[in-house]
Amino acid sequence: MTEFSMEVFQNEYLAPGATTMDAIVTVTARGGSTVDSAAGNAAVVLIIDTSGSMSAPSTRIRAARHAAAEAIDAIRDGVQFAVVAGTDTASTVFPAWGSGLAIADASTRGQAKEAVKHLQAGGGTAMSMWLARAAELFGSSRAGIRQAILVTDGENREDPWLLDDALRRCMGRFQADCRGVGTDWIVSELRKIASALLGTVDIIPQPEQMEAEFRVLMEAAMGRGIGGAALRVWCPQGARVNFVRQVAPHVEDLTGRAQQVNPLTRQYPLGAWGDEARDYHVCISVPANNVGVEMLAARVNLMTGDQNSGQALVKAVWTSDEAASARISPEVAHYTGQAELAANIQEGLDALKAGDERTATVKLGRATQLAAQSGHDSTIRLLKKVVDVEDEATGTVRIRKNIDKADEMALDTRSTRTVRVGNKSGGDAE
Amino acid sequence: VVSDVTPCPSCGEEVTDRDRFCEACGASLPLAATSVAETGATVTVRAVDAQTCPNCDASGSDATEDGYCGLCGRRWSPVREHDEWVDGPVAGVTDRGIDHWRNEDAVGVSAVDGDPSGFALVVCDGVSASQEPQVVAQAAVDAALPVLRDAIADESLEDTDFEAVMVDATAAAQKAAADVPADPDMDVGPGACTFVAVVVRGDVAVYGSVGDSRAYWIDDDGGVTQVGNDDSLAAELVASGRVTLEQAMAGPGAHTITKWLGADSPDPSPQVTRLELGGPGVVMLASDGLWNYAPDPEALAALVGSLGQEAALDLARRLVAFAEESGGADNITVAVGPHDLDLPAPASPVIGTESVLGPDEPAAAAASALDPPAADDPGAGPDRDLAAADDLADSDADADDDSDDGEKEP
Repeated sequence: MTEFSMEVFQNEYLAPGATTMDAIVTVTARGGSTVDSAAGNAAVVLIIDTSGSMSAPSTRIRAARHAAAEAIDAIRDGVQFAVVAGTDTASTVFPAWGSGLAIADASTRGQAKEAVKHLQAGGGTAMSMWLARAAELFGSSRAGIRQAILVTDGENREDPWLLDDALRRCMGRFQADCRGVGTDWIVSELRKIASALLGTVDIIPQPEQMEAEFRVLMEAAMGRGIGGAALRVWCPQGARVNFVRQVAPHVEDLTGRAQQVNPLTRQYPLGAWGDEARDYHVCISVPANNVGVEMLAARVNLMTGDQNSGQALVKAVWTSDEAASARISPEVAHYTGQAELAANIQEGLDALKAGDERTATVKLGRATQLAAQSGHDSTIRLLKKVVDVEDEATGTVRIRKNIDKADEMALDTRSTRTVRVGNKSGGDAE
Repeated sequence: VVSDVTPCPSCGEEVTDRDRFCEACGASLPLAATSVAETGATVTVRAVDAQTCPNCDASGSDATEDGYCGLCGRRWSPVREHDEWVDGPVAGVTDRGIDHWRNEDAVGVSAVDGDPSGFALVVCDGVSASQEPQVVAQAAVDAALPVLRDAIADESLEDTDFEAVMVDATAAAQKAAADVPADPDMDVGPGACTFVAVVVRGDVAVYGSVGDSRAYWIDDDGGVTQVGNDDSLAAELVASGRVTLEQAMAGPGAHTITKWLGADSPDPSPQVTRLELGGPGVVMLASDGLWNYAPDPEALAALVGSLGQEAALDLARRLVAFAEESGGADNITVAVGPHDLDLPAPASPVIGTESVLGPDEPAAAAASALDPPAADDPGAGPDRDLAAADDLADSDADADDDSDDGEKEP
């Protein structure tokens, strides 16, 4: 059984008149990833881009076939699965059209691997069709954990509203981890899909790296014992949620995903959970109160389905003791910095693309400084492939000449990854 | 103990006397009636539903189990918001006050059937900086009162035995207080409380005290005796002659007590004092939530005014209302036992449904007695003499500043 534990880090003291309360809520799950827990309750759909671009170079489609076979091998017995080939339409490669999802065993895995051997590249790229097909396949399943793995090498060739519309219809029905092969795909496009479907996004620079990545993704998908977790936030009358933001393992603003439970309670879907820890930054506006008053600014519950699996209290106490109210929680400060780091990288890279080197230098310099301050070594390494660092402490950098596109995209896709406060394990796994 | 388990008044599922909410139907529960059945007293508890959040007027049923208003989030527990105990001529009132989020005081009163001179009173004040002080205080009262009540009803005992009885009652209270489970990993120590009690039979009163809750004897000539001394740093300073009472009460640590009941009490033995009651008067116990606003016994006696005009319950209510009007910085508890006085019936109707229970009646009956009350404002009570009370309060404004009541000496 998965057990959740929650902890709150905050400075609960507010100065007279102060109305903003920040807190970091950590959620840790343990004991859920036994091998059999996912089987029977998990469904996986592998979506492979087979558009024309996958044949140039031809190593791509061949690598995709191998990687798909490898991923299929990693599917545990009892897990429901399907393989979809995506072009300007979507075709179910396995199982046969109309039979929903197959149940993994030696025989079905063998048939699926045989089917992916014959994948051919040709045609356009219409991701909304791919997602619609995945939704249709998942719709035939009662599995609690529904994970799609989407791999593409190119840009979506549809009107943007089609993808937005498809995402709206897929949200909450399954999750999707997205991977881009090579450098001809658009980071913001895959990030949008991954973000809406509670998944991750990353680059696979070389086709031959697909195999290993597929296996990792498949293992991760099946390692999750809890299907639909959600953060439920109660705020008192007169207070409101400024934002709820996941801050580890990566930054993801959840504020816009709120579902109203009752007038004082909102729920934020978090998707499936394995044995892992995630941190959330909750920021609440509270009505000002008299010195000495203690109130509950938020009650944060971790819900698994309808079940309450953990609780954390965010308090607010007004005090005239300036030393107490002026202190900033180190956890809040750390994650505020990590969110700023992600924003600076993305804004810096956007400026670079737009040819505004001045802004890019300022933003990426600030990012370097923030990464150095928080000991975010992997991000510093990625930054150094885009900028020459003169001084980490002051954030003095120069944009490099001849930046490798893959390095720039890697920095972009990984910009939202954070280190946990105090460099605890978990946030920065590579 | 009568029973730990009673049916929920709403749905009939079993609830324990420590539950504040029914787990089956979610209804808020009135206080457990254990003490009622054991002592024969009448308790009038305002139903949780009828209480309102001090900040937003939400109903007490909106209060959460962990002590917050479910609407505005203010720290608040409606348990013992305002409880009134009556047994024959004696009465006790305990109230949350204004500033504190919950009531950590507890009170118990008991009179002897057929002997108008026999009664017992107990007041305990939970130490805020300790674990579950509100539970510890109630447990101490619940344990001590039956010992005292049984002794005064026992005709084989002489008055000269009452000092020993008081020691036994204190020991029972200490055991109950120390038995309340505590978490060794918490910042604050195990639950602790003060203890003050009195037994009266005939013309003899025996008082016992641990901590800084007070006992008084006020005779009908206006003479007043504070029985015994506070076990507090302030009292020690005054006794040493180095500071005046006013200076001590204004200084830091005015409410730091040097003795208390609880698992970590270094010395739970009571000061025991015998008093011959020469004539008519009133025996009174009070937590510091009241006497903070009248630390000088003469001032308190002036506040009480001429005796024989009002029932014990009315006097106790009036004093509680005075402390609230004066600021209500702490929980307020008063117990009153008239001696040799012919008193009128309570002037104002008792709020809610009253029920007198004998020792043999089931606790379930007590629960049904705790129905939602009438619409009258129960907290106000009669407001005569409040003007005089206000004057008193102004001269003692310093007491307001000291909100860190009930600290134990390290």
